[in-house]
Amino acid sequence: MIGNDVVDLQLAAVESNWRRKGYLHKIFSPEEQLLIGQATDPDRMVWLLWSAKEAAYKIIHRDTRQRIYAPLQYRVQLSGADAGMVQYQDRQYPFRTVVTGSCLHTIAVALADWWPQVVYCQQPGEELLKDEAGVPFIRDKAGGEVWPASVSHHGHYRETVSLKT
Amino acid sequence: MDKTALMATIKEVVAPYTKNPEALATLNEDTDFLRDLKINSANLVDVVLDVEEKFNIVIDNDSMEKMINVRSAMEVVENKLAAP
Repeated sequence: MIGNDVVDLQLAAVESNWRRKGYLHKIFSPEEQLLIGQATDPDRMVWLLWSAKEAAYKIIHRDTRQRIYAPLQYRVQLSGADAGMVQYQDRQYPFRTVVTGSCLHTIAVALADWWPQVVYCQQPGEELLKDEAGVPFIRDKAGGEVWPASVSHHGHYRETVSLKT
Repeated sequence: MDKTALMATIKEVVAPYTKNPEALATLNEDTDFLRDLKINSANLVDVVLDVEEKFNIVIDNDSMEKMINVRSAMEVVENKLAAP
């Protein structure tokens, strides 16, 4: 399964004051807060960690169809500047982040083996569908094949990814 | 605090983060913060913090998990005010 999350860094700077009292404490573990404190660009680190949690949440929501706002249950570990693992209960979700200008885009997958099957945008001849829980799919209009997808929109940016296994 | 006053205060708290003014105008117990009001999930933390400040309560993580619509936000506040 797959999940993604986009943050428009320029909009986030205006829209979210993560420096307000109590904010980081509600969504980030002490270890994650340390990563933010030590980062050369703390804003980028806040949104990288946040987007990793959101991307993993989308995979779990797809599986469970349950909507729970529990960011502290998602623990992010970095393995390099723009990649790592989100731990949720006994499961681990690898993620990768790409920053292009002020667009920060994170993709998480349920299995690292699936990275080669990730398609980073909607192709011509494909349509985006959503089921009753709002879970998205990509459908090939000619062939009728259906794949799991994830869509994220923030500010100027919108990213659609799919998993073509 | 009666339900009408509670809902009015919740409405006041979510207003600055709401991206869908029509859904805010018709806010009711079923209004979903994310799907209806289009509040950014990163701003849901601000809603929780503002609710804490407004009612002088502490919202623990278990309660925060549920705060995705007006009904559950009202329940969380009522429970905290009843048993601080």
